Amino acid sequence: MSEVAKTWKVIVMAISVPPLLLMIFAAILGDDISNQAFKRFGNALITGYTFSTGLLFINMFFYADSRQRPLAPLFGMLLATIFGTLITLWLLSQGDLLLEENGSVRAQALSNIVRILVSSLALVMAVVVSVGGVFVAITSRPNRKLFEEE
Amino acid sequence: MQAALWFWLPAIALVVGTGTALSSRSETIKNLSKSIAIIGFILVLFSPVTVPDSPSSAAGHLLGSIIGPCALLITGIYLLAFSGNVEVGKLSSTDRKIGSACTFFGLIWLEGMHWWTWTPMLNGEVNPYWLVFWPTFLILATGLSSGAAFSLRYLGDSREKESNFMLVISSLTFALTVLGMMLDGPNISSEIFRDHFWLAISDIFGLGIGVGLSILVFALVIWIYESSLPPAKSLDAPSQQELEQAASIISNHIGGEQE
Repeated sequence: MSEVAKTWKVIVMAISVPPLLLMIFAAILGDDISNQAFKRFGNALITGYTFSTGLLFINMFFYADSRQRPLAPLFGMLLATIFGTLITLWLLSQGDLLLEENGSVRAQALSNIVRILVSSLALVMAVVVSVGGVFVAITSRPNRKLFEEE
Repeated sequence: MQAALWFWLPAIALVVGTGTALSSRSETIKNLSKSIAIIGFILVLFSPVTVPDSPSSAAGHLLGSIIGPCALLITGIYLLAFSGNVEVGKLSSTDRKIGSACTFFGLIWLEGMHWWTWTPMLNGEVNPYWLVFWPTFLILATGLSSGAAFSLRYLGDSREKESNFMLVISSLTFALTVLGMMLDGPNISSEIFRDHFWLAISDIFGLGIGVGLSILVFALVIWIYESSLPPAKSLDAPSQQELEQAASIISNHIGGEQE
């Protein structure tokens, strides 16, 4: 394995290990919410897919701008978005499978969308803290001498 | 209908406006998108007042509750980063002090929302979206800070001190999560926090896989389209006469003149 691949492996592990340790710790404390967690995972997956394909569909307009406006890729992404929406609505209408504390399919779908926005906000703040922390740490240090004067 | 008008329409405007402002090349579209996003943001912020009966307006309430500490944190980190050793646009030492104070109070404010009585409350109960935001933020912050620490150590040159600083941030957010799982706050018990910790983990994994799938589909659509295009017309190989002409031009421009 090359040095670069090893470095990336270490970095991916560094990102994953703290949440994994927290999961082990929470599991030791012993709460069984596997049913709710599965529902939340399913809802997040289908909503994340549909929401993201929708945004990428909008983004495809800018790709089309640089390719003399072809319709085929736009149509392809539109189909992917419609497919995601239909699958989401079908899965949500399967009774207790993915419905959380919401009484109807519409309420669950809307709650999923709001939650994805709140989770995105949490992601943005986490990136601000981690990337901003790196900048603060780097700029707080005195300038290093690159070359010794002769 | 009221919720669609006063919450969902502004929320769509906020998301689409932000996306378009980031992706568009035209300055006019960028400025228009920014204005639409700002108007959407303000209307979402006021949704607990405009549509108090809609459950979705709890998101607007959360936004209003966390905008203060988040703004303090972002401003503080910005002031701290640009008052350090930067070559261009260095801020003053007073800005550094203000930055430290903003970061400190921003963090205290956020912590007070879990450990003290500043928890965002809606109709006498903890705002349900706060229980989504807080564990998700802590989990992602501890993972990303740890990733940043190891990136500095392995990709940077002599960056051990900076790496240690990031490890401290990661450990701090890790410790706060563990404490939340073990100790009750005034409004959020450790059991509720643990439940929402698992739900946040499910959210992160689900979103990651869902977004990853959509990016794969996006790449697939572009690849299928690009591979269906006819190959670009290539030029014929140069003739002997063209080669000789090129050789004579090149020979006239190399070698220099003899003194």
